[in-house]
Amino acid sequence: MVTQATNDDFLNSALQQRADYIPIDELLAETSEDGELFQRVQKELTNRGFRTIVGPRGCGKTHMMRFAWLRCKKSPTLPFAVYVSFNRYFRLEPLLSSSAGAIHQFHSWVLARVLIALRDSIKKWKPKKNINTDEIFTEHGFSLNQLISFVTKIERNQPLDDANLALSESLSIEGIQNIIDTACRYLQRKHTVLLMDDAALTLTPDYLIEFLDIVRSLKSSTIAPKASVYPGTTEVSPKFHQGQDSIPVPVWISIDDALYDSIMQEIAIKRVKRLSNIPADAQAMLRFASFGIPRAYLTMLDEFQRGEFKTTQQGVNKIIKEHVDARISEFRSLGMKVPKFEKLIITGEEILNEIAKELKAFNKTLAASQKKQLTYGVQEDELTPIVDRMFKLLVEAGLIYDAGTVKHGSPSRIYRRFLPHTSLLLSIRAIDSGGTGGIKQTLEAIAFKTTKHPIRKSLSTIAPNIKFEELSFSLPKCASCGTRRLTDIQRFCHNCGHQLVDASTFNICLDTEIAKVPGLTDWQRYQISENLPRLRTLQDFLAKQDPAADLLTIRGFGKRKTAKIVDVLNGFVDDFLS
Amino acid sequence: MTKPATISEDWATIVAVREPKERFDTCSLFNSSHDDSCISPIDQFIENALGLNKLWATHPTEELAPEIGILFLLGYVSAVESYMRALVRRLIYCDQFSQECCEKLQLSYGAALHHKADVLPEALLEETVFSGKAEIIKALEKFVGFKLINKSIVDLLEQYEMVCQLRHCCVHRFGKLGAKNAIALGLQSHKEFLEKPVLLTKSSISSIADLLFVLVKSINNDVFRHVMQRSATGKLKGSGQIGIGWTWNKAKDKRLYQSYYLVFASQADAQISPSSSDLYERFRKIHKQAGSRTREK
Repeated sequence: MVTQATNDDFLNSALQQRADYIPIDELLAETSEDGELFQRVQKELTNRGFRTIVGPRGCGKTHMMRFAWLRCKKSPTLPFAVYVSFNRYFRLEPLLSSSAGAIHQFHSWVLARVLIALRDSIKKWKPKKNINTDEIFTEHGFSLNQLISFVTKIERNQPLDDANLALSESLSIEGIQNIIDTACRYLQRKHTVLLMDDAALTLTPDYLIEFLDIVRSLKSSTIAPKASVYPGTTEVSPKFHQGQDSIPVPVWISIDDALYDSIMQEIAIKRVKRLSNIPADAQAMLRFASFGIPRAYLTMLDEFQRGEFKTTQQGVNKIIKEHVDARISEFRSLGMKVPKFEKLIITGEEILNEIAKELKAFNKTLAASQKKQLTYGVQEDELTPIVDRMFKLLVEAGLIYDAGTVKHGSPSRIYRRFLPHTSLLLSIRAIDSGGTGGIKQTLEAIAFKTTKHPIRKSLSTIAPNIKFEELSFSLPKCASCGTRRLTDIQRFCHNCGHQLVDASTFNICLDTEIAKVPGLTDWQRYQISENLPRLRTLQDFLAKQDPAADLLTIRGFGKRKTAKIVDVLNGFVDDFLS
Repeated sequence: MTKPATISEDWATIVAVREPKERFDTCSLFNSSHDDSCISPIDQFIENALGLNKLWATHPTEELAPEIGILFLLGYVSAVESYMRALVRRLIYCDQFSQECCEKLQLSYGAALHHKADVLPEALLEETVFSGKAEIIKALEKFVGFKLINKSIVDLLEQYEMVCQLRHCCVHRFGKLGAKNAIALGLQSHKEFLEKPVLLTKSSISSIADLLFVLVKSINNDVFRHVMQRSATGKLKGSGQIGIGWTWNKAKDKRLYQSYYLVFASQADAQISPSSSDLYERFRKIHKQAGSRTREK
C-alpha cells in the first residue's frame, strides 16, 4: 500500500512539471496569467503575424502555446488554432545517412504532422454544425490513416511502401493551406494560428533550414505560423531573416526583471501543493536559482518537499548543486548528439566557469559597499562568428542569459552582456554578503543593488589557455580510415578515397541508459530502475512497439498507471532526443 | 631537319608512318583468373570507383590535366553501368519474381551453350545499355518488375542523365560539346559552349563522383526494399500463397534470406551493411504480420 502511494506520487510529480502532461482541461486553472510578459506573449500568439517564440528549454514555451490554443477554443472572437509539436524530429536523423531523399521526406513529415494536428483540433473544437471531419479530409484528397501510417513509418525508420511514397508526393504547401482555410471557414473563425512547438531542431541543422523554409511558405493572409525556438535558432538559415520574415518574441524572464519574484511565485502557488510547508527562505533561494525557468523552479520545490534534509541550508545547497550538474551534463550531451559542436561545447563550459569565477572575485570586492554584479560584458569584436556560436549554445541550453548589447562611449566599445546561470553562481558562492555563507547572508546579497556597469574583461584575459582564433567546428572523421576531414564540404576522404557519410548520431544516443538521462531526479531514477528492469536503454524503450504491454506484465501495474509511466518515459526520451 | 628527297614522286605520304610492331590479340588482354561472383554489385561499384577516387583525391592541386578529367568521367559512368548490369543479373538468378519477368525474353544460342547458369542472365542484357535515365528505369521495369517512382531517385537520375551527356562528348568528341548534347542539356543555356571542351577540376570530379555514389547506393536500397517487400507480400503467377515462402523462423529462413542479402550488402563501404541477422529481424518484425494473416486465409 505504501509503495503504491509513493509510486503514484512519483508519477504525478514527474508529469506535473511538464506542460505537455497537464490535462488540457486543468491548464486554465493551473496557469498563472499574471505578468505583462505573459499577456504580451499571448497576444503575439493569436495575432495575424508570423512569430518565433524564443527561449531555452523549460521556460514555458509549450505552456504558452497550449494555453493560447485553449483560449482560442473558448473565445469565438479569437482565431482558429492548431497545435502541432515537432519534438520527434530527431528520429528522422538516421535518414540523413541512409537516404538521398532525407530532406524531401522530412518536408512531407512536417506537412503530415500539421494535417494530423489539424484534424485533432477540428475534432476537439466540436463545431456546432455537424461537420464530419473526415469528410473535409477526403474532399481534399487526404486519408487520415494514410497520414498516420506515413508518420509512424518515418519516425520508426521503416521503409516506405508505394502508397506512402504516393502520399508523400501529394503533400504540398498549397494543399495544406487550402485545407486549413476550409476548416477555418467551417469553424467560423477569421484566421488560423499554427502553433508549431519544439521547432528548434537543434540536432539536425539540415532539417532546420528546410523547416524554416516551410514555415515561411505556410504563412498567408489567413494563416499565421508561430514557432517555438531556442535563442539563435533562426540564424542558421541564410534565407531566413529574423525581423523581416518573423518577429521574435522572447519568453524567458530575466532574473533582473523587477517582477521576477512575483511572477515565479505566482506560478508556484498555482502549481505546487502544500507550498506553505516550504520555508520562505528556501523558496526564495530556489526561485533565484531557477534562473527564470518555471519548470526548474517547480522541480526544485518538489525535490525539496520530497527529500528529507537535516537543515534547510543542506537541502537547498544539495538541490542547487544537483541542478547545476544536470544542466551541465545536458549541455555536454549536445556534444554527443551533434559531434560538430564538440569543441565549442568543451570550450563553452570552460568559459562559463571562468566568467562565474570572475563574478565571484568581483562580488567579493563589492560586498562591503552592499552592491553586487551578475553580468559579464564581452566586447563585440571578440564575438567572432564562431565564439558567438559558442555563446549561443550556452544560451540555448539555458546556462547563460543574453541581456543584449550596450554601448559604452565610442562605437568600438560595444559590449554584449551575459548573465551566467544563477545556480552556478550560488553553487560556487559567488554571491555573498561576506558572512558565513548561510542562506540569510546569500539572500541579503541577492537583494543588494547591482552596480552600474558589468565586468568588462576580454575573454582572452580570463581564459588565457583557450586559443579563440583556433576555435572551430569539429569536422567528423572518415568512417573507413579515421582521418579527420579537411573542410566541411569535402565529399570524399583525401586519404583513402571513401565517400564521406556522417554516421547517424541518433543511433549512438539510443545506447544511453534511461537512468542516465539528464533531468531525471534521484528519486525518479531509482523508481525507474526498480520498476522497469527490462527497460535499460532508450533503445529498449523505443524498440517496443507497445511498451505498455510489457509494463502490464509487472505485478501491481494497472492500465492507468502503465499509461502514465509510458507518458513520463516518452516525455523524457523526447526531451533528451530533441 | 632533313629535307625530303627531291627524286620521290610520292605525293600522298603527308605524315611519316611505320608498321605496327606486333599483331593485336585480345586474348592476352583479359584476366581470366578474376572472379567477382562472390562480391556484391554494390561492392564491385565501390571497389571500381574507389580505385578512381584514389587517383585524384590525394592529388595536391585543384587543377587536373584536362585529358585525365575526361578519363575519370568515363570511368565513373562505366562503374555505374557495370553495377546496374551486375545487379540485374544477380537478381534474375536469385529472385523468382524477377525470373517471372524474364521468362519470355529471348537469348542467343551461343550464350545458352557457353554461359554458366549464374551468368546466363548476363546474355539477356546484351542489347541493354544503362547510360541514361530512361534506360535505367526501363531496364529495372523490364527485368526486375520494379517501377521506380521515388522522386528523390528520379531526381538523381535526371542529374545522371546530364553526366551521361558529358560522357557522350568525352567518348565521341574528346570532350567537346556537340549540338545534340547541348540540346539535351538545354540549348539556351549551353549554346555558347558548343564545340568547347569540358574542363573538369578536382572539385567537379568530386561532385560527379558524389552524385554517382549517392545514385547507386539509393538504387541499391530502393530495389532491395522493393524486392524484399515483394518477396513477402507479392504473389507469383499460379501460386496460391502470398510471398515466396518465408516461414519467419530465423534458422529456416536463413539460407533464403542470405541469398538476397548477398546481392545487396556491402562489405567494402566505409560503413559496412548491418549484419544479415539484424536486417532479417527488422524485416520479420514488419512483415510477419502480413505473412501470418495470409496463412490463416
